[in-house]
Formats: sequence, C-alpha cells, structure tokens
Amino acid sequence: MSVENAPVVDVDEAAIPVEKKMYYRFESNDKKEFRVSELAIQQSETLNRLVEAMGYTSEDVENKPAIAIENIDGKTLKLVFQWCEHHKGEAIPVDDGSVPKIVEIPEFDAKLMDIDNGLLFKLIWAADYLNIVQLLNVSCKKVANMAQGKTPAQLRRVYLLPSDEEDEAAKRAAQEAQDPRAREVEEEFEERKRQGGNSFF
Amino acid sequence: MLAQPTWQGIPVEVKKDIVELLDYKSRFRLRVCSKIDKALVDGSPFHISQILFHVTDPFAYCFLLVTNQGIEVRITTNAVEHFVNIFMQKRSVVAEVKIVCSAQSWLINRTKEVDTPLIRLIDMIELLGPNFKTRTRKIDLFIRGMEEYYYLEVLQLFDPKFLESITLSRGISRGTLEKMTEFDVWKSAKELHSQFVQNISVDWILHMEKIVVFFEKITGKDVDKLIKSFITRKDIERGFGFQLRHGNTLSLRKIPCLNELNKDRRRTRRNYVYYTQHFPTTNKELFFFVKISNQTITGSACCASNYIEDFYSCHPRYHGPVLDIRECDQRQRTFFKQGHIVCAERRQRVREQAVFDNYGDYSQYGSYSIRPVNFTEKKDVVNKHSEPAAQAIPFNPDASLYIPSSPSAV
Repeated sequence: MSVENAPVVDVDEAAIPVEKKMYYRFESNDKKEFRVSELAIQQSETLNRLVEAMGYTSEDVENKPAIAIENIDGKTLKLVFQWCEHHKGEAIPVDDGSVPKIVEIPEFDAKLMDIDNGLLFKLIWAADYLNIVQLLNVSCKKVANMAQGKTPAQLRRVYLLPSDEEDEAAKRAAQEAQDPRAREVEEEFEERKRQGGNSFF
Repeated sequence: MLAQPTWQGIPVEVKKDIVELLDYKSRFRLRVCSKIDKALVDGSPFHISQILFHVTDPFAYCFLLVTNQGIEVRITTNAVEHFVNIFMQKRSVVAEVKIVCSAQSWLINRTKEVDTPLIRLIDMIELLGPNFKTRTRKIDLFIRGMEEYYYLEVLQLFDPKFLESITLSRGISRGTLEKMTEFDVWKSAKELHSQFVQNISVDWILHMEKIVVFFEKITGKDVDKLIKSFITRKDIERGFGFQLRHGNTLSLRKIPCLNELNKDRRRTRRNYVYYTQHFPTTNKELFFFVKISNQTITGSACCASNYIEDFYSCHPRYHGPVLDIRECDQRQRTFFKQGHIVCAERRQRVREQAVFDNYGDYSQYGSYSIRPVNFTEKKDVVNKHSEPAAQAIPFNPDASLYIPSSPSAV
C-alpha cells in the first residue's frame, strides 16, 4: 500500500501546533498502514524504544518501508493509535502497588471501547504487547466492570470461559496431538495404581 | 503469536490486573467458574479502599463491609474468615480498616469465656502465626465500654511497617493510651486523629507528622515542646503539623517560644481573637505557622513565600477571611484592650462541663487484666472451652458469597 492511500488516524487539527512534527508509519499484520505522531508514540513504551533505536529522520520515515507490527491486526491497531493520539503528551502513570488502584474511564475512552468483547480482548492484548500503561488500565477496568452483578454462569458467557470439563478435554486433545502414546501410558499408570503397585517401573 | 479474542487469550499478568480491579463479589463469582480461574483469583492480591468490621451483637452477629472500586459489599456470614482471607495475600493493600465494636461492653468479657466475633478475629490471627500481617495504611478504632484491653489487642494485629494513621473514635483512659504507646505500631505511626477527649501526654506523640487531638489538659510547656519538635525536625515537609483542642484554659504567656520570638501578633475578627506566629524551620523553604485561638492551637508547615495562604489551604475547615495585620491591629484596638493576650476564656467553663460529663471515668469499674498478644509461638487451643480455631472455623469464605445462577438469568 502506498503512502498516499494509507488510512490516517483522525487527529484534531486545531490541537497541532504550527511547528513541523514527525509522523511515523506503522503497518499491521493485515497490511494496513497508519501515520502516528511522535508525541503519541511516547504513550507506548515498546514503540518509543523501537523508534529511538531506529533513529529515523523525517526523510527516512517517508522513504523507508513502514514499521511492521505483525502481532496486531488493523482494526485493533487503529483503536490503539486513536487512543494514543487523544492522550498524547499525558503523563504515564506509575503503579508501585502501595495504594489501591482507582481507575476511572474517561468519556473518550468509554466511547472508544464501546466495541464487542472479542475486539476488547484484542485491544487489551495489544495494549499489553505495546506496553501502553494507561490504555491497559482503562481496558482492564472496562472488562472488570463487565463482571459487575453477573452470576458465574453469566460470567462464563461474557468472558467466554471454558468449564473444567472443557479445559480438561482441550488439555487431553493437545497432549494427544503432541504424543499419541501419552494417553496409553497414562491409562497404564492409572491401572497399576489401582492395583496397588508402588512403582510404575 | 496472535491475540485470541477471549479471556483465555490474554496473558496471566493482565488477568491478574483485571482480577484486582474486580469488585469484591465478582472476584468470588469468577473464582467458581473454573479451576484455572480459582487459582488466578487466589493468587491475586486484594486492592481495597475500606474494610469495616462491625460487631453489633457480642455473641454472634457481626458484619464486614468491604468497599472496593466504589462498590460496598456487606458480608454477614463468615465475616471473620473474610477479613483474614483478604490479608492472606501478601501483596494485598487495604487503605483503611475500621473496627467498630458497639456491643454492650459488660457482655464482651474474656473472663466469661464467650467466643465473640472480635475475640475470634484476634485468636484466628494469632493462630496464623507471626508471618501473617494485617497490612493497612489507616486504622479507625471504636471499641465501646470499659474492656479497653481490646484496643491493645487489636492494635497489635497491624503491621507497623505499613500503618501510617491511627484514629481513635472514642475516649480512652490514660493507662490504656500509655500502654498503646509502647507498641511498634504506635511508634511508627505518622498520624493520630481523635476528635474525642483524650488524657494524653505530648511526649507520646512528638514523633508524629500530623496530629489532630482533643487534649483533656495541655500546658504552655507542652505546646512549646510540640512546636519545637516540628521546627527542629530534619525531615519536615509541607503539611506537617497539628491541630489541638484543649479542655483547659491556656495563657499565651505560658508558652515560652511565643514570648521569645514574637511580642504582638494578635488578630481579631469581630469578637473572635487569635494569635499567629511563624517560625523558621530546618527547611529554608518552609515556615511553621502557628495559630492559637480560644478553641484550638493549630500549627502547620507552609511554603515560606506565601505561608498565610498556604496555611489556610492546609486547613480548609476555616472559611473566614485572611486579614491583613494592619487591619487586625485597628480592629483589635476597637474591641480589645492593649496588652490583653490571654486566649478567650468565657466559653471555656461551659465547654469543659459539657464535654467531661459524657466522658466516662473508667477507673470506677476497677482494674482489668491486660492480655498481650503473643505472636512468637503458635497455639493449638484458643481457650480451654473452645475448639481449636482451625477445626472450629471452616475456612471457606466462598460459601457466603457464592450465588448459584438461576436458569432464567442466563
């Protein structure tokens, strides 16, 4: 995808000062390209370190290929960069664990996270991967709020939680796929145990 | 690895963050969803704003009010177990713990061997051994009646490394207070709050950073000692200070440091007279500003550049105007005679009478035994008439909070 055709994240034009700023280009795993300001990138510790290590000039940004983020799809990355642009320049919170964490979801973030559960979990994963502390806090809070007043059965449905039986079946299937003999050995072990043998061998 | 759009797809550390943000009830409901989530919830510390342990009936009834993420949960069964369970996690943080025992005091008597909730809580924590720590920043104690040794026992339950503030919501006898000052919890506390009359010595609170106390009696030398302790301490910061109310008449002439440094800084506002003075501190950027009125003595470390404004911002209760000294002097001449520097006395007698009538004299009930809490060795039996706590109390806090889902709800 060329630079001209790349979807650009909505940025409040009035908020941008007159001086020239550098915009980095990033590419998601489904080849969608985004232009993000240098200040917005500072919200992500991972990306900030990456661009610092690369040491790109403004010519490099235009001429070299976009920085690929292979673990995150375009839809999620768009949300992430929208959040970063809105909160650029804000202080990054430091949690030392000494006081109970009180997280409040701002109005913009609440609107941004008004999405389906699948995308919300992807957003959390992306915020964790890119190390965006405040986005991770608000998205975790959003997920925590979803649990309020729910019964365990409702929670299973909201969080798509597998039951113990499903967990064990999945574990067994994974084990069998890895080693077909493992189940036979396990059954043999159980049989010997029932017979009262002290040792398998 | 690509993100899986489910709960299972997110990293365990993030799941723990989410569990810490859950309200108290939701934690327990997530806990019973599956074995994996049970382990996750059990391994995540609690981050709780406030816990209220309230004993209303001496024999059985008590409840625990847990406020977390702005949501209050009232637990009436297994309250003691829930209290202990919160602190079982080593990294659990509770901002404030309130212990209110409003049951009739003569019924809560250890000598009668009645297993009350408060005794059960103390015994259970004792049983868990020295490694168990009740970590909180602030405690608020309201224990009614003459069984004051509960203050001593309860105070020993808290970890002195974490505790910063002690609030006494009831008047305590001098003997009990003196014993409380011997504990590490008291020695390491940075704040003391008590709106109730306390027969307390200034020497017991000189190490604290913020003091709000109603003294039964205070002398000029005590005030002097307190002011000097603040202006000479090396670690003084903005906001350090005290607000003392006193039940006796206090003459400014008897406060040596005031007479040494400042001769005439009286201010008036209508019929209200107060005396202010600022002292230099070890930090050049801070002044220690003292205001003495007919009701209270207030001192606070304020920014040197604008110490008067800063003082009133530290004490927002005062809503009156900050008067200019010249203006004050003019008003002073109008309403008060020159050289009359005694704090207002006329309301003092009425106040003293009103307060001390309600304040019980604990000595009339005779002496009581102090039972120090022993953390050094574990006990097998709580007392000779009760079963061992581990057997008597099923440690299953989940039982009270688990609510089975109805088919219609899903």
